[in-house]
Parts: sequence; C-alpha cells; structure tokens
Amino acid sequence: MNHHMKNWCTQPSRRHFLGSLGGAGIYLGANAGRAFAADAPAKPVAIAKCDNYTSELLPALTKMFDQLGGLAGMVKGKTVAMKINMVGGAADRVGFKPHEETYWTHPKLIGAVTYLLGNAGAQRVRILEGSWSSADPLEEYMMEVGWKPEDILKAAPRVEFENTNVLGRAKKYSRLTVPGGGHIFDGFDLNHSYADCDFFVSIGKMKEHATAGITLSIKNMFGSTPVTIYGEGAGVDEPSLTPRGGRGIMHSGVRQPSKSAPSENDPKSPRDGGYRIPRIISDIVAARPIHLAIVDAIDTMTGGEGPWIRAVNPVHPGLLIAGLNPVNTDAVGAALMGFDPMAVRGTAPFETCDSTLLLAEQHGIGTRDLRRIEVIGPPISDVRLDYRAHRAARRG
Amino acid sequence: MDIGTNSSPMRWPKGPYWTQPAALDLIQGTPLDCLILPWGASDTQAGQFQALLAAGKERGIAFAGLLGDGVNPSDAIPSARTAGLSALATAKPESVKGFPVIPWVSRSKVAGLPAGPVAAFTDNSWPSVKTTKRFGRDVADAGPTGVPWIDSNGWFVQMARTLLPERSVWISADPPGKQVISRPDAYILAASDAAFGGARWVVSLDDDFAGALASGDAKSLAAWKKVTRALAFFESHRDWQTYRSLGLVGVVSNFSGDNEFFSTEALNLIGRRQLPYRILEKSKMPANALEGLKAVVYADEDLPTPGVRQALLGFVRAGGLLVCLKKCAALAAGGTTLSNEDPEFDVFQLGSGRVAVCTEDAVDPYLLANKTHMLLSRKNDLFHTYSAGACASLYTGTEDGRKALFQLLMFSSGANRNVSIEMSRPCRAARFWTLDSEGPAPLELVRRESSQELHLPQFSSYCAIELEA
Repeated sequence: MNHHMKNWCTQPSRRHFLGSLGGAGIYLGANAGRAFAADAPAKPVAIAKCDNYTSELLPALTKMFDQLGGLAGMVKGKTVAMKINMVGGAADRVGFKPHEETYWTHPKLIGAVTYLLGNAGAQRVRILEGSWSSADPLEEYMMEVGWKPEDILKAAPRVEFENTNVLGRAKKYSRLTVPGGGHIFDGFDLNHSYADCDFFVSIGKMKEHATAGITLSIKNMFGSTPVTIYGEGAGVDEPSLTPRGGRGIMHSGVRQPSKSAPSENDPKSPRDGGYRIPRIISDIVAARPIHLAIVDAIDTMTGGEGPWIRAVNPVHPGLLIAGLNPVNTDAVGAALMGFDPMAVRGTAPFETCDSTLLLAEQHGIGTRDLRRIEVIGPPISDVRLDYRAHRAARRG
Repeated sequence: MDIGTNSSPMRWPKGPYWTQPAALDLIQGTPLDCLILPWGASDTQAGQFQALLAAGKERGIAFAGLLGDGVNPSDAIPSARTAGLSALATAKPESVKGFPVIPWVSRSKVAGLPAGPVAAFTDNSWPSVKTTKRFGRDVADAGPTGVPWIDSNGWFVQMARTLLPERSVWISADPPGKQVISRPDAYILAASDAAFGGARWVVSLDDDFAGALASGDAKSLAAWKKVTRALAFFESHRDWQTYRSLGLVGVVSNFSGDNEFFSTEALNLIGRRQLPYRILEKSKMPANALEGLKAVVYADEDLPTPGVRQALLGFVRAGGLLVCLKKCAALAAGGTTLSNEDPEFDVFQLGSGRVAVCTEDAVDPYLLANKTHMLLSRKNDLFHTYSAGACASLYTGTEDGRKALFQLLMFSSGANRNVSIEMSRPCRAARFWTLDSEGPAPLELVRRESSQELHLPQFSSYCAIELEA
C-alpha cells in the first residue's frame, strides 16, 4: 500500500466528514436533517479480475453476483431496466480503438448481464441510453458502431431497447422526484422506462471525467436525462420532438429545462459545471435509485470520459466491479483508480469540482467510507491501477 | 482548340498581369487547358487579351468568353470569332446560334439544356463547414444529428452527371466575398468536392491570391502548385468516374419543377447520413433500374406513370422498402398497416416489402432521410467512418463488382489522424491514395467480428481507397 492509500485508509472517517462539511456548507445549510454520512447505507461490493470480454466474462460476473447474494432473489419475475454508457457521438473513437474498448460499456458485458438477469428469472430486461443528440432507436445507434444488438436481444427471453432521449413507447415523460428535495433539482422528467421498472441497473465505465472528476455507475446516470428537455435544443415550454445538441445547459446552466419539467431550485446558484454536475448527478441517483451498480473496467481509458478530451489513453485494468449500492460501488471504483473516495473539492480527482460521492452520500444513498464497505474479491491494493500515475507515465 | 469533355477550366483572373502571355506559365504543366475570359459585345476584350490569346493558342489552350448578364449573345459572336474563342459561355445558351456554346446556367436548370460536350453550373456552394459567428469567433453549425453541417456540391454533381451522362459537368463556385483565402486547402477542397463525384471545378481565385501569384510571392506559388497537383490527381484518375454508386437506396424523381426542392434536398440529406444512393430520373428508368436496391425514395408529389408505378410496386412486393409523400399514398393501396411509433409516417406491409407514407403534406426532408435510413436499418450500412469529423464520402464500384472505390473528403482543415472505415463487404486488398501520393500504398485490412476495418494513415483534405473484392 503506498503512502497515499495508507493515509486515507487509516484516518478517522470523522475527520473526513468534518472536512467535507466545509465544502458542502451551502448544501447542508439548505438541506438540514438529511442522513449523515455515518448513517449512509453500506452494502457489499464485489471486485473480479477479468482479462477479457470472452472466456472470462461470464464466469466472473456469475461469481460476483453470487457473492452479492444471487440475482434470482433480486430480479425474479421483475422488469429490469439497465442504463448503459454510450456517451458522445458514434463517430468518435480513441485512436483506432472501438468505442467499447475505451469509453463505452462493452456490448459483451451488456449481453452477459442481460443473460444472467434472464437466467435469474427477470421477466423483462430493458436496455436504456439517451445517446447524444439522437432520436434513432437505440439498437440502430449500436449498429452505427458495428455492434450486433441482436446478440443482446437474444441473451434473455424478453429484451427491449429504449432511446431515452425521446418518449419512446410512452405518451409522456415520467416525473421522478428526489426524496426530501435535491441539491439543484427536486425532480426530473425522464423516459417512462426509468419509472416502469422494478429493479434498476447502472453499468458505467471506469473513467476520469473532465467536469465531475470520475465517472462510474453514478455519473453514468447523467445520460438518463432526455435532451428533448435538458439539452441545448430542448423545447422552451414543452419537450422538443427531436433531440438537438447535447446536455451543455446542464453543465453551464445558461437556460432552464423545458418548463413542463421541474426547474432548478435556485437559478442563482453557481453556474460552474464543477458545482452543478456532481449535484445534478447525485439528485438523479436519489430520484432514480440504483439497485445494482456495475462498472466495466476491463478495457477503458485514463484522462477523461471520451475522445474529445485530448489526454485520454487506452488502458487495461482487467477488472469488473459490482455492488448493490452505487455510492459504495463507486467508492471502491475510485479507490481502484488510485483516488481517495473521501477526497473533497480541491484534491484528486475532484480538483475543480465537488465530489459526487460526497453529495450522494449526503443524500443518504450510501457511504463512500471504505472502512464501512465490505469488499469481496482481491484486495484493492493488489489490483489498483493508479490512473494519474498512468497518465504521468504516458506523458513521460 | 475545341472545348470538349476532357477540358479543364479556369476563370482567368482580372488585372494587367493576367493579360500577359507570361501569366500562362502558371498553368504550364497543369491540367488547366481551358481559360474562361470575361466577354462582351464590343471588341474591347479581344484587344485586351490579344497577346494572351495568341500565346495560349500556341500552347494548345482553348479560350471561352463568359458573357455578362446584359450582353446579347448574338452581339458577342463576331468578336468571339475574330478573337478565335472556342466557345461562348452564357446563361442563355439557346440564344447562341452558329457558334459553340457552353451553357453557364443555374443548377436549377440542369434539365433541358441544348446539346454540347460541357455544361457549367452556377449557384453552387463554396465547400466548407458551415459556421456562425458566436462570441466573436466562428463556431461550426450542427444539424439535428450533432454532426457539423457542411456546404458541399457533391449531391448536385452526382445528380447532374446522372441527368447529363454524356457531358462534362463544370461546377462554378467562386471564393466567398471578401474573405481572403491564402491557404491551398480551401481551393483543394473546392476542386475535390467537384472532382470526387466526377465533375470539374472551374478554378477561380480570390483577388488577393491572384495578386500574390502575379507578384511572384513564393508562398502563394507553392500553394498554387498544391492546388494544381490536386487537379492533376483527379485528371489522372478519370477512370474512377466510370464507376457506379454502390448505394442501396434509390431516389426517384424528375428533379425539376415543383419536385426540384424536395428531391434535391432528399439527395443532400440522405448523403449527409453517409448513406450512398442511386439517382433515378423517372422518365428514363431502365428495366433493371431498381436492381440491387433495398429502399427507394419516390420524392415527387405526382403519382408515377403506370410503368414506373409497376416497377416500384414490384420492387416492394419482392421485399423492398418504398418511401413516398402523402400525395402518393395511393402507392400503399392494398397494404396492411404496420405498428409504427413515428407519427410522421404510416407504414404498410405490401407483399414482402413495406411502403412508408408521410402523414403530413409538408414533410421535412431531414425526417424523410432519417426515416428511410431507420426503416432500412443500419444493419444494411455498407460502411461506417470513425473520427472523420465533417466529411463527405462516395462509395462506387465497377459493373462487374470486382473493384470498389471509397473516397473521403474532409471539410475541416488540418491533418486527419486516426480516421478509420469499417466496411461491411469483405475485400481482399486495399490501396490508399492521397492527393500527394505518387502511387497507392497498401492498406492493412483489420478484421473485426463481422466486418473489416481500414485504419488510414494521416492525410489532409482527401483520400481514396481502392478495394478489390
């Protein structure tokens, strides 16, 4: 264990908590009475070494889900919705690498999880993503990068795809509210699939993020917001019919979502993306709880969330992470990336933003304190890949 | 000198330097062999260009006089004859009798031109990424897909070459306004945008560039050399222009009159989706016109003639997809309604195929292009390009199917790195050409699960990949 890791693993969590109060003063002042970090739930998180998306994938996932108590008890007879990560445009790659080998959830992983959900008795599996600025059916978006969505469709008895940028099969968007109120939004209008499910899965990719520091299972949920309401080309009064542009307004706050959706609690709050995005994401995850968080860290990249970030480099941690609580899971994920999950604004990976983990913890979603989280599988220190060290080494 | 289908045109710049025979040295050794001079009814131009004309003829250069708007073509013929011009170019070609004429007309007049080896078209775009001034800088405009809008004449070139198969198509596009273009990239893009579809750009220089060339500015001369090298590249690959589109989508229209806007926008927007298409003029559709297609867009408001209708419905019954406007809903008669989430189209099953009918009288051509692609499904895509940014592509092949050609034209400036192309049809070998290459470089075929990929070396502006089946 290096000095950095040792330091944050051995310090009292109270110190971290008190330290975090300074960074979240505005929040706590406005939201007194929420669950404190010390009370936030802690559930087991499984780590598995997995070197590829072929022979090792299914055995690794099966073992992890068994370690978490087995899928059958969680999903039998239920409608499962699964948010995957296909951030950015289909035309953008990192070098010559296919999307799934760097910044998108790998289709083999989506297929394997779908298979296991079906095997565990899930009545229906809906795969969700609001791919950038597109109204195309999700399976068409997958084909745009050479994927074969029929492999995923065939992985379980009843599999559906939904592009959650648009209404899809519903007549209106579903309102999901943040219990007790949100940091920025008290609720969101999302595609019906986020409401019409009994069990919700988020499969993120283990990456750094230019605005939010890291992106794992929680940040993945940012893409649940339909750009017809929360995008640059969103309708002013009502959602637009056609997606246009990305979700830049969520970063900058230059305009409000369509008036039909809940507006910001305080339009005078900072317009800085590093303030807004972590809060918005934690609000989303509070409104749409994640029952199973999975992180694809077999093939991914360091330096940012997509090829539009110049410093990105492919990397092969060869890991999978799964947990029943997204904050716990992402805390383990952050540690596996060489970061301190207790870090606050100003320290890596949150140099220019607030910690989503902290903000989600303050929502009472889950603890980020590793000492309270049961980690199953290889010790973090044995399989950790220090993202910043990797970047530094690449820079020479 | 006659002006023929192989002639390479240039609008000769204005100014004293350009009337001197020495100016012709700039085109020595280049493909440019047809100079377009401003011409009027008087003998002024004949006198002004006398030395240039004489020297040019000795070098085998042809000259055409481009008539101004107010010039009566018949008045200009005597001076043109005296000066030894090879032809007059005019927006009123039907008015020129007894002298060779180059129609120099708006691209909306592509149909019904008098016979001749060449037709030049105006009202074209200056090829570029469309930008808007925001916050004091140029920002690329994005369409609904988020992909930057590009101004390209590519769709028109394909249409004009289809409608005028025996002619050489010239694209007249002048550098925009007062914008100074000193880099060669913009000119190479203008030349390539016309040439990669088989037309020729009428070379036209902005005043500053022409002035710099006239003064012997070394940087400008180097830039000019790059431009002419690009022209030479396309001239040396004229055989590629005999290849036919490999597209799986046909667009059927008369491309004129009330149908012109919608049908040409359909071409433009289907092409933007990197979906290659076959252009079919409905009055000249051969019996096998729809062979090999998987979808047809019938883009006209009036119902097709019985023959065309029979061909379209036969295509649908055999499993094809037909997309048409609301006024042609009768094409779906007898079909069974299929479930469809899109309120803008009704879809009917007819035989083994489908007919999609717009539900509104006025449909956005973008929606039509999008719907066509989605109903056809991307599983039929012939290729995908990655990290190519703002680009246009053309995928063509020989009749026997043994050779294919993939051309890629980049609209953003600078070097293009890490561009890759995923091809759904397998090929045995691939060769990579750029405008600067002396010969082709072999390209490795990278195998993916159900496709092959081409990982392109760094290039600028344009590249072509020859593929062997």
